Amino acid sequence: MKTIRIDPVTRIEGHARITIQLNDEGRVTDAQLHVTQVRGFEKFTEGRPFYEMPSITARICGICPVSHLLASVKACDAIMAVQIPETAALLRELLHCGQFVQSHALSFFHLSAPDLLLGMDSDPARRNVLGLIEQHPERARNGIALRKFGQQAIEWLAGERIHPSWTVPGGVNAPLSPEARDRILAELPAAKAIVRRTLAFFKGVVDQFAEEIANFGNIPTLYAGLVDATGGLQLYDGKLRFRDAEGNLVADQIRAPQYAQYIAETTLPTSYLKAPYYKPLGVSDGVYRVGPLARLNVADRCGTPEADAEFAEFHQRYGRAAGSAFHYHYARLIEALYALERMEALLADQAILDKHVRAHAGVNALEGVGIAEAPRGVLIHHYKVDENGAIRWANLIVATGHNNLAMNRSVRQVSEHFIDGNHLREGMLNRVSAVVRAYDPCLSCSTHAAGMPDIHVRLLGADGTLLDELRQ
Amino acid sequence: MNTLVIGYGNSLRGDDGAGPFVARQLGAGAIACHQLTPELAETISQAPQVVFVDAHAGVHAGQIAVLSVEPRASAATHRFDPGTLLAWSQLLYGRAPAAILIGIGGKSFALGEGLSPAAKRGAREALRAIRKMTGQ
Repeated sequence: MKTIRIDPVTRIEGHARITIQLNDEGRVTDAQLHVTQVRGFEKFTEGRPFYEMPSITARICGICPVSHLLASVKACDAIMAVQIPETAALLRELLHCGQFVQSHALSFFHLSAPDLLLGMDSDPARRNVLGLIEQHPERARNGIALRKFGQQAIEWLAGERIHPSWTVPGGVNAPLSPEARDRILAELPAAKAIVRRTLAFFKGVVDQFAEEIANFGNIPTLYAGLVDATGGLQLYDGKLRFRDAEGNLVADQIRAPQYAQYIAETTLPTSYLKAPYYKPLGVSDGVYRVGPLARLNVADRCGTPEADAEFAEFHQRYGRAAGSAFHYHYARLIEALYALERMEALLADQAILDKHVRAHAGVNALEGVGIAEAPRGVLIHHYKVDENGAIRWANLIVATGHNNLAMNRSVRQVSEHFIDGNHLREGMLNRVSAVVRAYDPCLSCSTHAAGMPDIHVRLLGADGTLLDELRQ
Repeated sequence: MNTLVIGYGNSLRGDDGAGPFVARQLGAGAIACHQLTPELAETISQAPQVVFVDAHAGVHAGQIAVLSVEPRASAATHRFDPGTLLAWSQLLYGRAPAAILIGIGGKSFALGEGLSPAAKRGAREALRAIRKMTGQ
């Protein structure tokens, strides 16, 4: 028995460790992804006033605070039992689209592009964002410009790029000014041009990754995501839908308060990250995925012209339910295009400048559930309060959690295919990390950062003897 | 103003908010932010010179230190510092402006908003230095 540890995995948001077990012949027998620290937001928010929850839970993450804000304010809307003004809903979605653009740009250009553009087996000393800047400066500039656009849009809308306090229970706390609208509109064409170029580039090279596509989490799972009443892609609102690996609808139009009938959570002895599963099928058969790939798999269309054309081509290439986790990259780019088109449409709506943007109410229900699509997938905030509005109980199911079981299976599949325990090469291990990157896990949502990123792989013999060692 | 001022830090950790406090006092043209991020590389590449302002645990509380900043390339994206930003500016946009870092000595970095009296003195000192430097 030998064990390989990749600790921590690099170029992801947050920190994780991978353990790969080998038998005496050097073949992989098991592999696991470990999230090793606990945040505790569900527990220490108990007793806080419900209206503080958006500000508190936004601090879970510096990358996707807007998602936590939106899931949280939606849960608070439910506790207040209010229907927020139409303009408030439009503005929340607009803000959310800005976040999708910046987050997807971060994942594709900063975290995964070194693998995709420099090669999985390239020199690990240069396979990073600096290597990308040296060899593909224009793509690196595009990545920075796209992320900047998303961040800038968030700041123009909400006043701050990180942890803005603009979204509040009942709506948003200030209307959109015509100046801010025009500034975002002026920058949109350049951002769209970047995504179009990147999509064209990626579609030209994706076939070079045939072995990765075949073995990067190419596993049968369910998929979950929000859709509108006609099955169209939804990021801010909508109802939950599950589709299976053959493309069949398993459950549809699930309202937020019903989520617990379909999603149950278990814990893994090797990780602090909870492991949700599709309740009717149980843990073993109920593995499902969320995020860009899952959203495109569950939706019938995107709902914007250019993204719909890309959506059709994507499914023509890979089927109704594209199964490989490698396709998260492709799906992420399509969603970035959708988010930009959606921003354009929202800003063209005359109602976007309306001054009525907030409903006021106290506690009218003792329980509230808010669901939004975070860039990485379905995000659920569920609160129970007392008569005074103090939190009695909170449950947060983050996107990375939904993908926990699937990521573990993906890590195992990649390990089994690529790892040869008798001849350890860095490129093999990089692929194990790369499949995790494809999911773009946001471990900050479930862990605290600890130390500087580093990879230290140790190959141990059955008696614990150190046989081989790699440090990156 | 020909000088771009970037004040950064966490305003929810007491004196760590000294950097953004200074930037906000300067108003339009200065950037107050939670942390340094890659997209600032493009912005600083267009500035004649840059003054970074940050709380500094190694400086006596209430005082400031003016430190030189040189481009220093790093592949780590979890934590950006002024030198890394300058290097990215040079590599991506062909120009790294002259830059300094004004470190403001802080006393308390515990959870909570607002600067300690000592950090406020340091922030005022930093403002005087920046205004003198920029002729304001």
